Amino acid sequence: MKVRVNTILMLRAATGLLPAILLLLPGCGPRGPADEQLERLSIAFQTWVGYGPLYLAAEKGFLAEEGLELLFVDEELDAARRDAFEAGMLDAEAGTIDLLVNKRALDTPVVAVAEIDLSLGGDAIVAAGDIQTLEDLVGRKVAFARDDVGETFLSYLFHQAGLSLDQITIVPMSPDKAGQAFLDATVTR
Amino acid sequence: MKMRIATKLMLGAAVGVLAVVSVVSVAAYGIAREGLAKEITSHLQSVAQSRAAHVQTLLEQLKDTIATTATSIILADGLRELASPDADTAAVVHRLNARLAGLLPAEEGFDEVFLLDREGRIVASTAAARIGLDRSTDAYFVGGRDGPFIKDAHLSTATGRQSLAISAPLMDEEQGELLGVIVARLGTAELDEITADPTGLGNTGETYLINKYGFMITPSRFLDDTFLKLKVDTENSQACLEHMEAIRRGLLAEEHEHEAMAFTDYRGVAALGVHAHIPETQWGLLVEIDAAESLAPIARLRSTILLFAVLFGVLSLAVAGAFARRISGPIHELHAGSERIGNGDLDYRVDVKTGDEIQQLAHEFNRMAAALSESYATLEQKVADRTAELQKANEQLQSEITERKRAQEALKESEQRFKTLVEQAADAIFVVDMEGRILDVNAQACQSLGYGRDELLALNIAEVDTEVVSHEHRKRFWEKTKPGETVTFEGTQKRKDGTTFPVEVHLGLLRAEPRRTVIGLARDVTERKRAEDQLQRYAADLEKANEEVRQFAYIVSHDLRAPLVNLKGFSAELRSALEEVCSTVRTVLPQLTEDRRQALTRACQQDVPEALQFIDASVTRMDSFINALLKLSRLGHRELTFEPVNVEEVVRTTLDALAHQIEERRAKVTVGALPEVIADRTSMEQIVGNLLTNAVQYLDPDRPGEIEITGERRDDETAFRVRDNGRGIAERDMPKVLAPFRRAGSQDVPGEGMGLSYVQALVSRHGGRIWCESEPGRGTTFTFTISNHLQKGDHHA
Repeated sequence: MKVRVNTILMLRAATGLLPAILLLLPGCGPRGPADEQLERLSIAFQTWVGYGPLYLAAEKGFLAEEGLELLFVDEELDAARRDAFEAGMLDAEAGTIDLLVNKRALDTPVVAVAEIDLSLGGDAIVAAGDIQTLEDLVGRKVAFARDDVGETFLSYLFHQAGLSLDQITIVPMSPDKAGQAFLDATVTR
Repeated sequence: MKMRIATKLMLGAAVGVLAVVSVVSVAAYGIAREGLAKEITSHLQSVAQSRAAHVQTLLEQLKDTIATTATSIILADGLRELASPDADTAAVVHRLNARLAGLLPAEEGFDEVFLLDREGRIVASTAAARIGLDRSTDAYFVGGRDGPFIKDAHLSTATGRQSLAISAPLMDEEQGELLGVIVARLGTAELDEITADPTGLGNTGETYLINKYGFMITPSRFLDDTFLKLKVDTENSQACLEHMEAIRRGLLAEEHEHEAMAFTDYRGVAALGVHAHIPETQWGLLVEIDAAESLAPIARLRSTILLFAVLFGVLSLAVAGAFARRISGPIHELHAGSERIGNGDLDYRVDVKTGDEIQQLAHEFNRMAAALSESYATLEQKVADRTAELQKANEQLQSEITERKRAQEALKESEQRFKTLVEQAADAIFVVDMEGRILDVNAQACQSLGYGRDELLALNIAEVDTEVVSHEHRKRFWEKTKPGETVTFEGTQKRKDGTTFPVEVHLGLLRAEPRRTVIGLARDVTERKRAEDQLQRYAADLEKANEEVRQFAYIVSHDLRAPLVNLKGFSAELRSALEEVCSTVRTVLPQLTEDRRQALTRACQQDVPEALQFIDASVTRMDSFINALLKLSRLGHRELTFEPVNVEEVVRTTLDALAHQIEERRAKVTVGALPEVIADRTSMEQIVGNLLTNAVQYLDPDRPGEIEITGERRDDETAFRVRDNGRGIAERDMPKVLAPFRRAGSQDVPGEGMGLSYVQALVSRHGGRIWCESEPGRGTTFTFTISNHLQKGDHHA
């Protein structure tokens, strides 16, 4: 089993290049195709189009060739996935690379087993007209999903600029709600 | 294999009964089983739906409760106060704790209610010991920041109890900022209560919930300590989670029907089960019952059916056996009887009293035996009768054969006669098929062509008559003629030596089926042809001679006129010269002697003028003859135009012109019905005019004249007759009546004698004839005819 934590990918992640990775509990690797009984594993991830190939792999029988059968679990919250991991109910997760960092930071016993996607995502900060630099955000309300890519992204930018998230007012909000909130002028982002 | 009837009947009945019983049993079992399966599915599904609805309602109530609690102004204010640096933290926390205890009391199942600040730290709680703990990474905080949230069933880290947690954000309404999160943790007792209700589930049925990972979160009816420990990995649970996944991906409708599944449950026991979903938490609700219990009625039914089938089978066999013996007994009796009769005991009778068809059969059998016995007695008489009949038939046959022979001989004779007829026929006879093969010929054919009979039969008709298939007319005959039709044509046949001769051929269809056969009669027309050719040559010569005569007449008459003109001119010159001579003579007369004077005076006044007058008269007469001759010769050249002519009208017009003369001679004219003809109008006028003029002119002045004109239409010609009671024509003059320049009888009527010549020429050009019958002193009848074959619009040069 190989852990893929590519520093270049990490760096690039901060500029919007977020590779998705597959995380596995140690010791739960796939068995050889010689075993007739398929290894049934549960895997959870947020709903995102980038995980489509996993469904395709299941439907095309590629997973079965590897002796695997995956139970796809819809779990949006990283915290909930972590609980499931700890309770021994969840076998694997798919997520962006910041997820790995977070889990590592909390000592969750995970390893990365495969890099499954290289996404040139369009992560950006959307701000009102009078905000031109990161420094202009200080003291303003910024909405993003906590515990998620958005938070990682913003943390990294602030860190680079010598700023701290404590200097802004965080409005925790999932991305689907944030757009409307911005239009209603309740947040800056 | 020999088998007794009784055995066969029994076996047949047994097979039939078994087949019917098997089919009925299997069908009944199948129907019952399917009905029961449906009923079980329906029952389990209704339990599943009702429990799932119950659980869903409970979860929604919990979410509503926490959402309502989160709107508490006291809690919001408390959080705001705690956020400010100069807050009396202990007092605020105390106030908040009291408030929390009041909001969600423990008796309603809530184990702990606590507040987290926006950093995820517990700032107030009904369990005071937990204040200050950082729960920022707990799902109830992360999830509860965005809205009312249910944390899935878990073992509480605080109490170790099976718990659910519900949370909701506390917002600063004015600023729209998050102040903190309120969380309530409660046990799963209420859920357990819903699923543990055994109502309608018999002795082995159970309902339980599994979370989205397939782990059991409510108690099992059979096993202990399963909460989040037992992963239910059965076909029912897998189907439940797969359906949930499919619904989430939009591949399956939320409300979908599925059959009860037969599977091995988590204990390894055969079970039937269904599932339902709790969308709020993505739980699966499984309702399962042991197959042994649910399908017990089916097992009982199977046993009952089997028992009945066996009983029915045995009973049927017994009945069939008895029945078979009843049928076969009388048949044996019949068999024995027939054997005895067969052995010669004709007086034996069978005794069967079954009252059915077999008794009838026995009765017939007995009748047959009696009849046999009787017929045996009369057999010899019958043999004698039949022999006599046979004899008679033989004689009849013999006489028929004789008759037929006679008929055949007659036929043969007739055939022979026919053959002789054919053989001796003067015409050559050929029988030919459609390919032209010569099938038969007669002696004349051989003789005329110079072949032997066998030689001819090897030839094709085309080798003998080269035009036979090329001529269009014949070809049509060859292909289309029906029996009874014949066709005649002229052709040429070739002899063996290569010489040819003309023939007239009559063809007729001899036979149309099975293959068309044609009989041809060929007559050698060499002689006739020769005669016809001769005739044609004569006709041509004649025409030529005629033409020459006409030319001659024209030239002669034309050339004769020139000298006549001279003659006339110079006679006038002579007359004027004479006058001059005479006037001179008169002046010298006194000097002459009396004799000379008298002679000159006579010559001048009498002899010379008289001679000149004779010359003039002769010239005039000669001119008139020449004119008539010219007219006649021109007549042969004038073009005639045929059209319908009303002869009666022509006659009337002519009579009108002659009216004065008719009256003068006191003649009576009768005109009969005159048919219309196709003719040249001018010619008709000339013909009628001449004949009527003649009739009027030659009437006898000593008696009243009578003229009668009649007409009659015949097959080929129309005849007109002009009869008068005039002076008549003498026998010796008859031949010259129609000749030119000939006049009969006393010459007291002016004319050149050309009239009837014209008439004859004109009648002839109308394809007709003219003749006359006459008796001197009694009258003359002229008859002329006009051909009926002239066509309107024809021209005749």
